Amino acid sequence: MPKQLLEVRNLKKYFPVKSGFLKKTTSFVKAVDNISFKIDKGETLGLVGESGCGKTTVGRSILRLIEPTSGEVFFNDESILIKNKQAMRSLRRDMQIIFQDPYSSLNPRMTVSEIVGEALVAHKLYKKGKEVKDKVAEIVEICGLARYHMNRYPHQFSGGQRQRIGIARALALNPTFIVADEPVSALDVSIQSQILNLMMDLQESMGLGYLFISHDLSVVKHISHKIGVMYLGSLVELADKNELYNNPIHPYTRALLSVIPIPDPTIKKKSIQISGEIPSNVNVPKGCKFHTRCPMAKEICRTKTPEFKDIGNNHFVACHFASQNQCPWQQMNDEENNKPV
Amino acid sequence: MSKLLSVENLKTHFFTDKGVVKAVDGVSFSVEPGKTLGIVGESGCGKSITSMSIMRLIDKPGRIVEGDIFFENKNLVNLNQKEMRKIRGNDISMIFQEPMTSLNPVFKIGKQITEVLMLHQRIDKNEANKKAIEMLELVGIPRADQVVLDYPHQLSGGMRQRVMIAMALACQPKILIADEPTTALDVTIQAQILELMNDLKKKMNTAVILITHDLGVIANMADDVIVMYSGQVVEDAPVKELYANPIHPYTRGLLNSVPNLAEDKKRLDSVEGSVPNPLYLPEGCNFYPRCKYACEKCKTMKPQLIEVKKGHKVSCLMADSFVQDSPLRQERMSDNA
Repeated sequence: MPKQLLEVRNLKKYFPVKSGFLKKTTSFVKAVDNISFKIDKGETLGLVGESGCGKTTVGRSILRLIEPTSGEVFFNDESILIKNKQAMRSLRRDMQIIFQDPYSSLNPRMTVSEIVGEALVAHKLYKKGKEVKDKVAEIVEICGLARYHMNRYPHQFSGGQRQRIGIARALALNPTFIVADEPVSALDVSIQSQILNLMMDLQESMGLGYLFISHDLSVVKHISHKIGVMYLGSLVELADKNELYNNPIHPYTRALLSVIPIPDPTIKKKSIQISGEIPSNVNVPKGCKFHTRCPMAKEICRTKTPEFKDIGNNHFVACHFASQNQCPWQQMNDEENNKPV
Repeated sequence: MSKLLSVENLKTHFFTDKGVVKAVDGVSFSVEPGKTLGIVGESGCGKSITSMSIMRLIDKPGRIVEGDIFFENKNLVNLNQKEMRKIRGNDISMIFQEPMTSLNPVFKIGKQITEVLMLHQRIDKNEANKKAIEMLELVGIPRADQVVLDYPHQLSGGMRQRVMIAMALACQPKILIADEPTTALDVTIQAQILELMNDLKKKMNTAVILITHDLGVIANMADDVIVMYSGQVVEDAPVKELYANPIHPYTRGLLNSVPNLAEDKKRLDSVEGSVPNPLYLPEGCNFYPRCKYACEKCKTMKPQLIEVKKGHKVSCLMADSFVQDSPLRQERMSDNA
């Protein structure tokens, strides 16, 4: 049985909005609002959502790169939010992050071997000099770069190669968990697939757990085991990959899935257009956050916040009409099943 | 159908200190009225430079060194700036990728739209203002009469892109060039904008040149597609033909490397290596260093874009062996199965 690697309970991150002469806190941006999920060892949880929905804030709060407002994060059954700086530092050996932009996340004044080897020296795992060099060479080769690349600077590499350096840096300390924050969205499609393949190979050989953050649902489907869909700081749906794609329940998930252009001109799917745009996270709508754009919103959605609950099969949904019997969009569901695949 | 715009053997080169960058190197294609031509390719393949060349927006050190761009019996390459200005924004207009940076932040939305109208259509301010509100309503902006008084920063990304489209379509152009119009937007907003563009295309019979790297968007929007690689067209075909029978190894690599919602793949195919440095292009076929099927002659001979089937052009020396019953083609089919 796979063991639980990470558990997040009721995580919240509110950023204060200050205004006026005295810089009083007048309101909060609820970037992450009550999120809970679990990741097993060697498993990938994909986190999708539109820009501004709080995906990145979740990833950073877990690593305590920003301090969460409240909630709990358990890593290997240890609560990490109560740890002091020193304990946190040694814990970061096991938890690493890959950043979105391979152009700005590497120090232009450091060579590859310095970038990748920095953590090895900082954690005093290897002695400076030959030992570190050898270890770096090993990691760099795993990530598909050559030994002679080690003495080069980031600007001498292409985008895809830089992202490999970013991955090598994350892998240097032999972590068990990696937050991958949009690792392929800055890359071209032919390069994107190389990096995705690399990440999946590494997961297989090293048993890594990933929190894979992306706005691209096709990419997330490809790499993840479980997928969580976020809207305005909260999870609206969380389920196993196939369950989510074959049986999406939440109207937002359904709409998201329906608007992704499929690279096949013979498939003309009926897209569910949702009108309007994401509301600001300062004035979050009352009741269900999605009701302002939801095509099926009823009175109850405007007043009562739906619970995020299991409807069976480890499929969590936050919607008042989630139980399939009373699913008001069942009809739409049937219509869509008739589409040619 | 008659051709509205035809680009023939266009070459746009940049003369930098380090050498000549052949950003666009012998590109030919044509656009018909009311149709959408999709241009796909990875970053740096010359998609945007092609469109900028049509608009004659190439700045030093770049220059169109060769080729013709025919539009309504005129060769755009030979026009002077004054004549070109009459066409730009009037007959041919453009939507840029970044709705954030392509609007002027210090002018109100209304002013920016009426500017185009007053310049090209010789109408007075009041009329132009009315027309601007009309255009904003057409592109689905609520309370258009107030939005004209807003500044760009007061609008969201999707709204700004709608304003850009309104501005581009204000003079009812015959050709609309959309350079990655939805790349900076979220998927739900992307769907709204694409549907809007399709509607407007039908209403106004505008020809659209859609530039994007997203193969999904192309599949849904385009009638014909050209695939570019390192400044050259490697494949040119109607959209259904291209997705059903891609011939060039690069096109096939691209199509196979995209994760697809409709099917499950254990592993993605990828095109190994990366795009060659435009300063040092390979001697033969630009794609041969990354090509699985490259042979000796690919290293020395430049392939030409030739028609291998009706309406389907490919620039590959090995194209014959990929068409129909070749073993390589069957291998691909079995890979997908």
